[in-house]
Order: sequence, then C-alpha cells, then structure tokens
Amino acid sequence: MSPHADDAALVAAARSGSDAAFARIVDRYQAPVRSFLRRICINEADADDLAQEVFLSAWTRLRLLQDAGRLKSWLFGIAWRQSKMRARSMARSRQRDQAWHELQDDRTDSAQEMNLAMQQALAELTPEQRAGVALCLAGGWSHAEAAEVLDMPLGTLKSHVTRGRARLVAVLGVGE
Amino acid sequence: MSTTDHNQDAVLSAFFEAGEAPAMDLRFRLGVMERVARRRFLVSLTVRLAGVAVLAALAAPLVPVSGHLLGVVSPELAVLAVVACLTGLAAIAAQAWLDGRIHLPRLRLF
Repeated sequence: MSPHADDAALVAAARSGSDAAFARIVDRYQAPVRSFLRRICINEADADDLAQEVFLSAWTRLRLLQDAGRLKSWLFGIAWRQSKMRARSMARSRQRDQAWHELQDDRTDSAQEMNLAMQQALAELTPEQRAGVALCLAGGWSHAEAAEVLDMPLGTLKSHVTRGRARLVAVLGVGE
Repeated sequence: MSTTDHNQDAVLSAFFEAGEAPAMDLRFRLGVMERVARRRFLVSLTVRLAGVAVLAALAAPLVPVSGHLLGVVSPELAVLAVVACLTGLAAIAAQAWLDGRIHLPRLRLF
C-alpha cells in the first residue's frame, strides 16, 4: 500500500472518530513536522509546543482536508501559518534563551555548542529563508512543493532558498 | 559539481542532521492526544451547554402555567413536585451526558 493510500485510510478513520488512527498520523509525521519547526522557530521547546498545536489544529480541521493524499503538505502548511502567527512571542523567548546561554557560557558541552551554533546560524536568516531552506535543503522537498506549502510564488521561493543557503554557508565558514 | 560545492553540501547536511527531531517520541504523541482529549471535552461541553440553553428557552413559556398549577395544590405537595421534577431532569441530563444522546422516559398509561 502506498503511503498516500495509507494516509487516506488513516484520515478517513480519524474523521470517523478513531483516536488510534489519529495517533498513527501523529507518529508518522511528528518527526518531519518537528524538525521543520525547529529550523523555523530555532528554539526547540517553542518548536515542539507549536508542533503539538499543529496536530491539534489538524485534528480540529480534519474534515476540511479535501485530498487526504496530500496530508503531509497540508500539515506543513498549518505549521508554517502557525509559526508566522507566533513569530513575535517566539522572538521574545529566543532572546531569553540567548541571555541564558550567555550566562551559561562556561558550562556548555559539545552537543550544546553545536545546537547553539545551529541556532545562531539559523537566526541570521529571515523566516522565509529558514522555511525554504528547511523544506528544500533539509527536508528534500522540490521547489514546487515547497512553494505550494509556503504559499509563495516559485521564483520567490527559489530566491529565498538560494539566499538562505549562501548565508548559511557564510555563517558556517565553508565559503571557500 | 565542484569540490567546494561537495564540501558545502556535506557541512550543510551535517548541520541539518544535528537539528533533526527523533523519529518517534511517545511523550510527544501523548502530549498531542492529551490536547485532543481536552479540546474534545471543551467542544462537547459547549454543545451540551448550548442544548441546555435551548431547552431552557423552550421551557420559559411554561413557567407561568406551572406556577399557576403549583398554586392550586398545597405548598407541601408543590415542593415535593418541584423536587421530583428537578431530580428527574437531573437524571435525564446525566444519562444524556454519559451516553451522548437524550433518553426520554417511556410513558405507559396502560
């Protein structure tokens, strides 16, 4: 059975009230949605909280999903719209995090350092560039699919991805 | 593709792998399902409260009639009748709450 056909069956079961089917949808898409949001929101805790909200919103609006085979891009679309709505509060929490990390400078291990470096590098990008990079470079989406999810013209998306990649490469020091 | 591009791609993919969420996180699933249960409870509570409000609005015109009827009988019987009615309504509402639908009592005259 193809993943899309499977998705359609799970969506149909969840629509008819099956919590088990909805839990399977959560299991199937939690990793990609959370990874996408971690790259957009930067702060991991905010991203995971938002990811739970995304699935809750999906559960509420499941009846509005017209093509159940497009479940994945529908979930990512919700994630992107909700992240834009929460951008301001997440920027505040990012500032708090940064201040805390500055205080903890002496006690960071290598994993935390890597995480911090990633957060700082992604913070250099605009939200649109982060979303484009997260989908196309990290998630392996095609430009056309990503443009549809992010609701932007294909040319604009390509430009965000190119600029985002160049910026990341520069920040990570692998330009030459 | 040049060596520089390869090098950049390798660094970027290592960079992205570092931010990857775990494939399966049961705590995350539990968190989502808990929010779903809470939302479902709120929705059903709202629907039921709306139902009660509609029933109250429909019953409002009967208040003067029942007041008149209660005035005819003795005060002790009136109190008893009110308590019996309220108990019956509470029982029907509780059963409807648990089953999700209203079970009206069967009135058998014969």
